Amino acid sequence: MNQSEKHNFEDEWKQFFESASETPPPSVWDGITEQLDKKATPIVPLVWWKNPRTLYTAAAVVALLLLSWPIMKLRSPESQKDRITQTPQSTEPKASTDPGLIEGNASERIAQATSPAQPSSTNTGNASTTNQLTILPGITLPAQLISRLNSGINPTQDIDSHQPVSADAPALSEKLSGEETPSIVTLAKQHVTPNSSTSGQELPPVLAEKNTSGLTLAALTPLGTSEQSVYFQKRYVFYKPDVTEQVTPEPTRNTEYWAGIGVMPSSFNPQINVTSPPAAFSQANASRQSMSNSSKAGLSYALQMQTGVKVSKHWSIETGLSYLQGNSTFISDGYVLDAVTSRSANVLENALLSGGQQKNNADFTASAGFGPDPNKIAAFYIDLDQSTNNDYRYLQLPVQAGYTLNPDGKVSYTVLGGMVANLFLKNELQSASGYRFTTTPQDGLYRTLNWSAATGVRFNYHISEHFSASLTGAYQKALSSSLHNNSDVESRPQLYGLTWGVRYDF
Amino acid sequence: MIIDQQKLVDGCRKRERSAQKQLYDAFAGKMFALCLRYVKDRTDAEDVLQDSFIKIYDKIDSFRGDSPLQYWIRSIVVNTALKHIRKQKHLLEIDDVHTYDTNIADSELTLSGFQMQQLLGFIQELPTGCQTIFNLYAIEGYQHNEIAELLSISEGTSKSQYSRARMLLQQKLNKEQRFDNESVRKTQF
Repeated sequence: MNQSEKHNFEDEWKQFFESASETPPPSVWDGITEQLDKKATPIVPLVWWKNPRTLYTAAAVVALLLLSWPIMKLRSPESQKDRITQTPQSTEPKASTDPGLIEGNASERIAQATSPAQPSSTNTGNASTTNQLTILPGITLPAQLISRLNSGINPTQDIDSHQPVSADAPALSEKLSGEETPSIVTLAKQHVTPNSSTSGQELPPVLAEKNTSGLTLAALTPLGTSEQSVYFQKRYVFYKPDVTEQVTPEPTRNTEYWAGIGVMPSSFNPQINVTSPPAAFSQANASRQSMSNSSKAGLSYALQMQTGVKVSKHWSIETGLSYLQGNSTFISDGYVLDAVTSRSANVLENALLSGGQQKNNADFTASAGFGPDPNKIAAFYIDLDQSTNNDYRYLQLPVQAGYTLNPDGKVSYTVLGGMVANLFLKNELQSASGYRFTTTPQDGLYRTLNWSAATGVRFNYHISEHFSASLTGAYQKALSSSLHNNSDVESRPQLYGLTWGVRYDF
Repeated sequence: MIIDQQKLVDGCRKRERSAQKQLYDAFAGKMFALCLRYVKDRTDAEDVLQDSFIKIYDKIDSFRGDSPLQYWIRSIVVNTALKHIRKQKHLLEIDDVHTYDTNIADSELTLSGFQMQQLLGFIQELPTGCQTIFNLYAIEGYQHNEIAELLSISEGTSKSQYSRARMLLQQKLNKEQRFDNESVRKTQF
């Protein structure tokens, strides 16, 4: 089948059904209109909700409920104790104006109280033993009042002392004690005679007589608290107390200032180098271009005292005082022997002496046992490897800035950077046992003050509120030569150290 | 009858019942014929047509007028019919066969001698998968890849189903034509 034929087949069908039409039954349109009508009038389950008036009414009801919520809450079981005083007070105004109404209410209550369906302790005659008299279900009278009832003392005496008595109280008492209120009398009788009938039926009229007993009246009087003419209104004032939010201060360690001590084992290298060989070396080794000498770091230590101040949460500035014992070894491949005095000196010593001579420090050279100029005297250079202990003593005054990470944490980290003022104290060269070549600031060879750059990282562990331990890795490098302008010797000490310290935060 | 399409659409947008009725009268016949091609019986076609026009009235606001109204209505009816078929789960009957015979025997048959009801009956007698794909490909003009996407089947399945539909239809047409010829001959004798 070729493609055109295939298309013919489809086109034929297409053309045939393009124009095809079939009239649908009328029920289709009826169904459509029915559905459209349904959609046009959407079924709203609560049509009344659409009415704005109803909406406003509902809103008002909700508002009313919200406002009356405290009152409803008051009438909850928790407030039942209050009701024993509140209930008669609330009915009291009605009683004062319309005694008949109170009678009616009282009758209803009595009917409830004496109803066989709701037996109470009153009906069983246990009032004297339970010390409580139940008038209405859920309402009890205080034991004090019951005892007064039982003893015949007018309980109103006590009440009168606190609350004013209504002017129409006597009339009410008369009414209550009269024949018009037999039901109340019945209740009174029931209360004061625990062993009386509790069937709830009205007693014979004999009990309604005025002279039944003073006890009856006494019992009635407190029950008819309508005598109180004072209107009580409980006010519920809703307010938000001005509670000042106590801002709990941040747990700041008293780290404004601190002081600490530490010891720093270190590796000190003076990096001293004799750049100009002695004259003896030049004479003896004319063919050699240079002399070999070097410094080797030795185990050193420093005793430190630190103090610091915290300038912000993270930043601090600290300073201190440190005594550094820097030990090193100077290694050279020969030494100089004085032909006159047979005094031997290593290359460094020889260079220093030469420097002393340049400074016109004759005493210094003389004390060393050399002539006026070691380089000019008759000397020999002995080509023999020699190690010389080269120890320094410095007093250091570091001034560093620190940036502390996690300052409030148990462990904090401080990055340090700053300068150290190195005050030269002493240098000792010990080329042979028992022989020391000492240099002091007065000799004028070493600079009295030499600056070093310092950096380090410190780990602080806060042991307690005031104490913390620290471990500091430090590096110091002299910014200039520690010697005065000396063309023969050069020295730029450097130090690696690890300080163990304890800090006290004030 | 010349229909002012824009006026009709505007009336439907305003939910005027008269405009809706006018639209229905204008297109219901052709759309009912379309529905009859897609479903198996008349009752289903009526349901599809009814649902389609409800949708049309609901979605008339989305008609932008950049294509003829008839095509827009037609697309809604076709989609409604497909949805109806899916509900009936008839499309599950489409075999996912990738082998299809493109060498369909040549045929000189034409549809000129057939009534619409006859051809409609032929289409409705096709298996549902074949019926749907035949309608979409041959009459609506969809491509196989479009049909595959529309029905969530493979393109090969669409092609094979179409081949099958075409073969079945040709058989029916041949059979019917032979019968007619024989009837003519018998009448001549």
